[in-house]
Amino acid sequence: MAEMVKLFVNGEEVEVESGKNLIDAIGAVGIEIPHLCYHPALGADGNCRMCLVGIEDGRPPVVPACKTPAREGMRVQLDTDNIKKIQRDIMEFELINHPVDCPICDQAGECKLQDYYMAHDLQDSRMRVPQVTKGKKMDFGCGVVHDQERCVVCGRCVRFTRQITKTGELGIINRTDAARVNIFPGRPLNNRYALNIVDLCPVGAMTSRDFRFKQRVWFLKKDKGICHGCARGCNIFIDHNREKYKDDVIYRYRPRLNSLVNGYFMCDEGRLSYKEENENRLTATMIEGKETSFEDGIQRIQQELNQAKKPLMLISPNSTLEQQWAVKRIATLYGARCSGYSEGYVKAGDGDDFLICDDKSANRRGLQLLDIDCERTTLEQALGECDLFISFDNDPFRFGNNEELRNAIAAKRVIAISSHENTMTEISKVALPVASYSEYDGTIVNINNVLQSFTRAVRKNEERIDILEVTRLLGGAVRDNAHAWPGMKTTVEELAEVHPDRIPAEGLQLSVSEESHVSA
Amino acid sequence: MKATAIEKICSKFPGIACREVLNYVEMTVQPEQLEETLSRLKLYPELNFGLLLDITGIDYLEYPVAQDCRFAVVYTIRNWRDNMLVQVKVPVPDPDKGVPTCTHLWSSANWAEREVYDQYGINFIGHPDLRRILNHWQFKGHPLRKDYDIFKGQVCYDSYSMENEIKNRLLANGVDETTMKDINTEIMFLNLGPSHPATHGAIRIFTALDGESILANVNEIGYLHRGFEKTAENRTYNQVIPLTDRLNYCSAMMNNIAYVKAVESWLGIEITERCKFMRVVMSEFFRVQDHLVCIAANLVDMGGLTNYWYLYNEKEASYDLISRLTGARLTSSFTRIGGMYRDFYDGWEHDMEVQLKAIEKGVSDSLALVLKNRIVHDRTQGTCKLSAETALSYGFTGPCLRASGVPFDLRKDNPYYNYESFDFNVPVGSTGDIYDRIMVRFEEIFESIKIIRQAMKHIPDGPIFVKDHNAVLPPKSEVYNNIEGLANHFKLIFEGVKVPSGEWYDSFEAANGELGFHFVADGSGKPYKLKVRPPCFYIMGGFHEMVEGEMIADAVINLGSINIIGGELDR
Amino acid sequence: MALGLEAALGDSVITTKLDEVVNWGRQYSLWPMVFGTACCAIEFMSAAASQHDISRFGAEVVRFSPRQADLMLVCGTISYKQAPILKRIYEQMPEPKWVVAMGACASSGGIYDNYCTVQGIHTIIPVDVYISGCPPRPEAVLDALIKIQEKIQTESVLVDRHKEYRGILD
Repeated sequence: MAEMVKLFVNGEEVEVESGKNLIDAIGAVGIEIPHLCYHPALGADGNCRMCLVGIEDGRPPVVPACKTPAREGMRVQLDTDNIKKIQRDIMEFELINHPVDCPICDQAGECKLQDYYMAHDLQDSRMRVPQVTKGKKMDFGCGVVHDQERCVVCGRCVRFTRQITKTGELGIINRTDAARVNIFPGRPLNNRYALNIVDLCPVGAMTSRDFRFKQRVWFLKKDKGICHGCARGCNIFIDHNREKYKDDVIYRYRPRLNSLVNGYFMCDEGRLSYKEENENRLTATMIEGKETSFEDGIQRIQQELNQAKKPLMLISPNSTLEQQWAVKRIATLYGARCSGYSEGYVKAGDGDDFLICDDKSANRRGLQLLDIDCERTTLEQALGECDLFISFDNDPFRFGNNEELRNAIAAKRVIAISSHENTMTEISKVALPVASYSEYDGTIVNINNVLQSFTRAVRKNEERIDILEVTRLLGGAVRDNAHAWPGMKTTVEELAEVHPDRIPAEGLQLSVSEESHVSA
Repeated sequence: MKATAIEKICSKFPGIACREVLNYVEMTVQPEQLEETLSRLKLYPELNFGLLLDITGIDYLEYPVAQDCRFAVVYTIRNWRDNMLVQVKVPVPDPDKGVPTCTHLWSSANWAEREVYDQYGINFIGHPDLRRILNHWQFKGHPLRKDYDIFKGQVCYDSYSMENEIKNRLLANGVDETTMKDINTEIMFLNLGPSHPATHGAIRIFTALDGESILANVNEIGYLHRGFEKTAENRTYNQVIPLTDRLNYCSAMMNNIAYVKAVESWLGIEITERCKFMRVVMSEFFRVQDHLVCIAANLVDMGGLTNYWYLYNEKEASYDLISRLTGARLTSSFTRIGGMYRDFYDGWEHDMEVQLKAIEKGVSDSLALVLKNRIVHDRTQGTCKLSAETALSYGFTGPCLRASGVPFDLRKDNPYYNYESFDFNVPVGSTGDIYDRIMVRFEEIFESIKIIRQAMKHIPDGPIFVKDHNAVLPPKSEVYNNIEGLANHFKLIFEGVKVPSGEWYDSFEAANGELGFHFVADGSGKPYKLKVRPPCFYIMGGFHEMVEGEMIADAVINLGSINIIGGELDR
Repeated sequence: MALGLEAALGDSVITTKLDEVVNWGRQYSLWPMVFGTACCAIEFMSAAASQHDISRFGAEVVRFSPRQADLMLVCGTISYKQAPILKRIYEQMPEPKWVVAMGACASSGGIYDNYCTVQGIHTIIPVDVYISGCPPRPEAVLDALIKIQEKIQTESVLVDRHKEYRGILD
């Protein structure tokens, strides 16, 4: 915990962390200082001048809050006439050449200019001359579309490409009122984090080609979630909306701040992985190619399990800890072997040193903690002698079709319990649809051993139950997520001290054990 | 008067938190002190709060400021003689246990508490007949609770039989089982069902008759319950205005004006003089419309069909003026927070004068048929009388209360919009029978026409809108041509007018009585809770008092005389 | 000038099809039953008044008893509480009968998309013509009446209508 100092804001005393700049320090106690160019991940630039605050008896009397560290006894003034006039004048300057684009701009609803206009400006326009026209709909690559007229030249995008991705594709060219953000001709944005620029931009100058014109922001419900695109487990906002007579659809993911896991950003593949949640879902229970009801499917699976002598259960590295535990328990109930074989989920060499991991599954660490064997040899040996093969949302052919393994599995009786339509559902005798990660609660552990919990966000019209419920219906002992924890806490050493309802929002760093140094 | 009101009240209740909100007093009491407080308010002669206007509940589940208890019940009570209003708020720790009832103090609490039970699930200990009033009897759950999904409809498969209620009522009126079975006093149960021409809407009147006399009467409402309050919680403040239109749809613009007045009083917006006069003109004009329809329908029920043509045709003709001004014939949605939709059109004074003359002629023609008519006198004088004390106890306001002899009119006693400078009278009846109610309405038409003529003479020029970018949309020339106007327009539309958080109640003299709005705001652009205090809900609650002992034909014309509008009754 | 049978019968007799005669009688003497609950009922009253005369179309005999009516006009919002009553009144009407859903609330629930409003009366009884508007102008009501008349013209006396209808209250 950092040292706290007392200072005065508008005459009232507040306690803030010392050393932080005023925007962060005072923002932490709930008072917002308007700013455009400052971003906590990118540092202060000081070109927008919107965060100017008055310091009583200070030298100088008006300072930019982004560059001023909080000190004991400072008397910060936010609401004097002088400061209000400064804010109004800066807003007027920003809006002089701002195009009248709100109806066609995606940023409407989360636009800083709109918000600060209502909070700090409220003046009529004094423009009597035509506005300056600049470039619009400029394709910068990687799905980022730039609109120079809307740009307030805050420099956040430029600083991002320089400091965070270190690729430096963007720059501000020309000077004074001819200053524009642009790319070097023939060198568009080319990095795997480019779409973060769309989040950073305070106005609608940088928009995502993927989200463009899809949905208005104020209709979206912004629920918290965790991306399951790779083992990093970046925290996200799942923005979804259900229109009347239609189903709940996810429109985009945005990164959420988590200083322990991903910081302020996320990678583009993870950001666009929302499409997989919407598309290609398994919707109907299939028994031998014919559509039936869910209850019939459960019954059939129950039958098969009762008849089978050596069933083999394949557990998914994308499932939550509770779900993996429930499957393990039901495997002992039916005398089945379990395997977590999922080499198909790893793309060797794809990871980088920032956020992207090689391992494209979200909870492989969970398999390791619960001591579920993931070796290929074990799988092949068990496959040889098994008579029933059940996959609990694990698709071994995800990134590549291993013909040999496919034939080996297809030769057995296959049951696929899956959220998406994939190779497993094609070769299965019984296919049972279940919920995907945006539709259930649970906890997962990421590549750095951080335990995170998430809650369900999307409620489809036709609700699917998750894998834990399926095991319960098949006779399993685990009733719900809370019920799974006592068993896990006694069996797994790292989880012994964890209180499942009191996992902090940032996630819980589990103790580092020998296994975490072994790459998956 | 106002300054001493809070002192008066607070001095009688030491130890209870009182504070002044707008121009009334709000008290917060604990459940143990509730009965004592309410009795004192009613019975102490210096306090004499004899008119229980409304009881409502609040669910604080999603309120941004944490509260001690999830539920609270608010009583709005008025002392009409001294023009004092008090709101008593009591937190409810356990809704199943609830709070003690106050039906023994005010009879209007009977239906009001039933509604709070229906919508919030708060029990009232000692209530004589606590069952659902607005939702159907097969409904499960309490819809105004925040955790009830607004889209979850529940189908009702059968109508309710009401057998128990009528039997209890008969018992209360001194007719027991043996008398019911006696062949000489064979009771016939007659149902004037929800679909009936005489009910002017969807109300069910269930009577127990001996021959033609009504021995007992129970009424069921809620057939037009459209979920106004829950829908309003999901709309911005300006988006609620079309919903208010459809409350009392005969005088649609009065509801708009009442609603917007309530919001503006909390926001502290002082509307322009021209806007005030415009609102006065339009509300009096719509008061005339409402009374025309009420009297026309009532006289049709009596058999005088000619009056319908005389009176209703004037209403039809005035639709020309209304549609020219607002764009719609019936449901105008004409007001906005901070002003009106647009200004009067050129030449409106001439059109209005033509209408007023036509209305005067129509009403005079009708009066000529009715005033000295022997049949009308016999049928309406002395029937369905209601004394002033009973009327006050049942929460009556408006023309029905004034017909019973209580001279209470918000325009005179608690004036707003320059009503204190207009020269008009308030007609007051003497016996509270049907004749008085009809005649009070006839007289009010003439008084309203007087007010309109005075307002037309004095209406000043000037802007209609207050210049306040926080509440009022900028003009379209700004919105289309520069970014400031457009950003302002965008934020006001999709976020709504941001209203500072708090709770308040404001009322207005509508055609039927006191139309009040009780708001709970949470600082955002949508109301957290919006309760309408509907005048005819309480009048319907006292209906059985008026008709028991009379004949079935009198019940029919009585229903016409109290002007029940389904939209306002059931919301 | 007539041919065949008509020539033999003379000028005072015309021959026609049974369907045509019966339909002619039905369309031009529709007796409406106003199931009026809310604001649309006021607009129907205007349609029945002298300015937008509904009796020009033969429909001024407004009957409040379902047993004497053949056109049911549902004017206003139908809540779930009112739904069984609507169904019962509809069933009390003798065949042939037509239903007009007047206004936005009767057609689809209108502006009230919530727990107590039926989202369109077609879920309860079969509907022939929908009138949109909130409330619709009296001319729209007359237009709907004309559409019903045109619909009746194309019907057959032998065919039973809407026997296979199943709503949420069935």
